[in-house]
Amino acid sequence: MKMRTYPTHQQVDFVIVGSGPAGSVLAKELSGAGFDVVVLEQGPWMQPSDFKHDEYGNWILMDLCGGLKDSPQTLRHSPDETARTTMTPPPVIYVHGVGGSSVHFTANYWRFHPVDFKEHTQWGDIPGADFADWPVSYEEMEPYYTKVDWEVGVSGAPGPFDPPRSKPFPMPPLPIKSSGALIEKGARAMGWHAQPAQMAIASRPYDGRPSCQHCGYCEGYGCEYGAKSSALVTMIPKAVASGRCEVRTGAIVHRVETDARGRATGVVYWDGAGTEQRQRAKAVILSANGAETTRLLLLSDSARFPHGLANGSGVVGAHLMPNGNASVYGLFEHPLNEYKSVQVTRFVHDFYNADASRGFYGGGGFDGRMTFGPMMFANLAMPVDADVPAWGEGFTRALHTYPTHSMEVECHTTSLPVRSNSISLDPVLKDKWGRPALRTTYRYHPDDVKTMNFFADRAEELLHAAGAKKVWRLPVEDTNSVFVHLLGTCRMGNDPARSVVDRDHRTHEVRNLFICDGSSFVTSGRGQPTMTIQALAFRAADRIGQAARRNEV
Amino acid sequence: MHTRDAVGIGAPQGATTGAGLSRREFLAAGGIGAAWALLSSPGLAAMGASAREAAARGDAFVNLTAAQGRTLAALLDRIIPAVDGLPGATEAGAVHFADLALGGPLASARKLVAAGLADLDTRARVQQSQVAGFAQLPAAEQDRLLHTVDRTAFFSLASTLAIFGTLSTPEHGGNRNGVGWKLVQVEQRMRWQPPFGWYDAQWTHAHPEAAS
Repeated sequence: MKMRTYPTHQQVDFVIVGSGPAGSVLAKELSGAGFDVVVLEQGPWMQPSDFKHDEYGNWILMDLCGGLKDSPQTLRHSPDETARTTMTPPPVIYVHGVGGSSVHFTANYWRFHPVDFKEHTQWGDIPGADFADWPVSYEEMEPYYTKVDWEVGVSGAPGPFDPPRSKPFPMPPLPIKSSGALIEKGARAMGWHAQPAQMAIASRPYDGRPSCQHCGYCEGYGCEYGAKSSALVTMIPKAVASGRCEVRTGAIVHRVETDARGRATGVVYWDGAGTEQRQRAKAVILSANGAETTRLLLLSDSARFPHGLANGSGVVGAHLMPNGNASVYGLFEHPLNEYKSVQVTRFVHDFYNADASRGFYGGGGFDGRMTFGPMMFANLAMPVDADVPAWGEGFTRALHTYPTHSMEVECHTTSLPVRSNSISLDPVLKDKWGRPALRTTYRYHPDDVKTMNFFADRAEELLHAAGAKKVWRLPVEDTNSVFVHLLGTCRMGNDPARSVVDRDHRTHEVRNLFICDGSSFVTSGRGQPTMTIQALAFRAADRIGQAARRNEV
Repeated sequence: MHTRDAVGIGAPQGATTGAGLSRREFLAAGGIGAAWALLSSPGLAAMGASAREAAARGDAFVNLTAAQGRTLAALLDRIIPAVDGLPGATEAGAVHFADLALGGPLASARKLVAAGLADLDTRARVQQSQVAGFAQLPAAEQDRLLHTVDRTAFFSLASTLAIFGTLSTPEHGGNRNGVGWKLVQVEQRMRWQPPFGWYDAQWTHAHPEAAS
């Protein structure tokens, strides 16, 4: 099908920056509602046939994430430090290309629970954090979660701690793996409750796409079958098929332009040939992720917006919440072969809620999986102990069994919104296009570290209860950062002094500028954000479309 | 403790302080990217895609001298040696992965590698005056020598090269004929069907899973 195109001088209804989980939903919904939409994507438009089973290319060379050369970043741990250049890996990682990070994600689709939206009310203030409620509730979000289930395509079954849902899952869970069977065994022995994973991966042919073929290359890879329900194969083709949406790739956006009245008039970008272009639009929507959306606002400063566009509050870029994470491994007698099929088939939500009796704030869940293929596992996650030397014949023998006989319990936990944890512009380093490099400032809140260690302790208990011959963990460290969940940097809120967008994703300061992506998050949830990013986007599309029809943008 | 900043200052702290964990030292951060932090070898900081462009399958070295290639091959062989009929780094051609990487993504590590290899050869000659270099030592002597240097940044990098060269996809120059995957008992296929492993084959609990 031929894609509709628009000249840059035509004032389209919406220009959307970013074609990822949020931008693609907004493009599909708004174009389907009759608006003219141009989506600008900095990366290429890859097809499922372009993806590879290449552990070194995907995990080390960052083949899908813009490579290692063009977009250097810097990192520091507190605002009084000078950020240092990091190259491999950069502090924040996201796919550069159509579909955004949904192309390489693991595809765990947990809904938020009702408590996630009002945890500040329940818990109160937390020293060192700007803890706040969301300006929306689970009840308002539920229809949009259901839309994600059915329009994007989620496989799963309800579990004992799940929030209420208005419609069943459209597809049954994917078949259990050995890690799932062991999670079931360990959880039952501990008196906990394993439940089938909820994944944006087709367990049956769905909506014109094939079902999962269990090749094993999900996390960190693009799906060669189109069975993973990424934006690339779900929302983007539908947006294009509307006949009112152009997806323009290789477009490096570096400024949102505003007029004398403080209204957005469009965006400025460099095209694939390096030529500066301007796309005019009646309204601008930023869905570029919590790092890139931040950079774009900060680069769009002017006399009227001296601290960056829509940043009168000063919180653009602040409150970065990447989710906590801990990895615990178990070695078993028989082969698990975790290199096959999807990453996750069972998870445990017994510790989802924060519990004051633990002495700190935090909650989360854990699942059974093997994040790494054998190369990364051998390099990073195998134990070094009396049985397994770091090198030599004993290491070779361990390589023969550990990769297939081990599993990981991966813990996914809350991050508190700390003001100084942020994305900002590096004052010195530039990227290939001359834009200031992304600078990450990050240090875990003490409660986040306690939460990660609490979950790692539970994961060890579960693995022992499941019969592991050996259990080991990777240490939780609080000054290192390689983040893929880029949440909270343009948070939603009713108070313009403390938030960037209102409950309908409209920026408080620019009437026709909207932001919807992970940056909108007020709290972090429990570590599987894309489901909520897409539910927010479906809701935002409704609200923005209604406003546009009323001429209120 | 190693931190990511080690990349910026060019020295893996875990290795230089003798903390011991070297390549497996791990710093948990958020999300799937956590473990990348471990790649502390300074040269890895510069990895790029050009290794693949330069991928050549011959036995001649592109970026190493023949003498360096012999020493590095012998070193990688002792990190993942063939044993009990299992293939090791030599059969995988891991040194050719390393050779290509040193011309592209690992170019900034060439000095470190050259110095480390020269040092190994010097130590080998001190240990046995009649040998030309490390590669000519008997395996047991090589191991004895390596135990004196296995906390260095150079050894940490070599260890990563041995693993990557044995287990990356063959297009990057190592893992020839997929012998690395044979070593780890991983089979590359585009399709699998359940049961995938021993424990799910035993699974009988009824859940409404998709028939496959």
